[in-house]
Amino acid sequence: MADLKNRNLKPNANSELTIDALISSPLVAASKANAEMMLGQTQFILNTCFTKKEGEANSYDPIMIQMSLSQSIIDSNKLPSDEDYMTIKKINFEVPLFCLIPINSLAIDKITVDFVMEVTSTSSWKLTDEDIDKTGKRVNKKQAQLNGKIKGGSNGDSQYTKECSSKLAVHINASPLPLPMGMLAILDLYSKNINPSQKTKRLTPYD
Amino acid sequence: MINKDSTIPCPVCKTPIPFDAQSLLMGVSFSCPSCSASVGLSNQSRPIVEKTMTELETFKKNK
Repeated sequence: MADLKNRNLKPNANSELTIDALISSPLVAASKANAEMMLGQTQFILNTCFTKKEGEANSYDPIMIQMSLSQSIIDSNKLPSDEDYMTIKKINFEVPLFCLIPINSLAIDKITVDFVMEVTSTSSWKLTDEDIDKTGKRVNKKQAQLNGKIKGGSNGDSQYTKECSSKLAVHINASPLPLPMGMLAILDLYSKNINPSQKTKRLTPYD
Repeated sequence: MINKDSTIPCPVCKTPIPFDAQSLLMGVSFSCPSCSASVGLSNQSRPIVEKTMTELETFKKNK
């Protein structure tokens, strides 16, 4: 039976593992890789698109950049031949730098784990009534576990020389995924505040 | 090539205007498909956007 408490990290190609560990280990590694990618990207955005507020921990101000808007306006009260029939209005407005940068949300979206497991031992046990009560659900009283090792092949032509290797193939595919909801919400909030506010004449009771 | 995922709402009519950051740096202006207002990058902000885009490319290569 696999020694689940063994924390010895020395690589051993012939060590026995539970089937859960064999399947979950590459997936957990991919999940950690995903988290590292996200962390790196978040740190990059914070360092380049925001400035830290002085005196306040974990509080950032967006770096604003200026953009120009030009629009042609036609005066319908004038003739096309008139000089000021068409005027070009130009205004400047500020946009957070964060809204312009093409942020890629790169993440692992497909993992294929391929191995052949040699079952070396099996174990089974019965759940006690106490165990069933703790879960609060109806479960099979009898549980089973497979233990094994990754089956490898042997190479070598000569009967006197043999190399044993275990093979575990993990194929990973990463691609840009839609931005997380949190980031979309921040972009949406900033975008809604981009519009320049219109100057209106304050109405008085005498108007 | 304009990335349709990069849009900015038109300050006039709020219609999303697709744009490309690299083209903005080269001085290209993008028009609103609804009201034809044209948006472009201001000259004073060009250095900071250029610096950020360079850092982004470096980050992608090093990652």
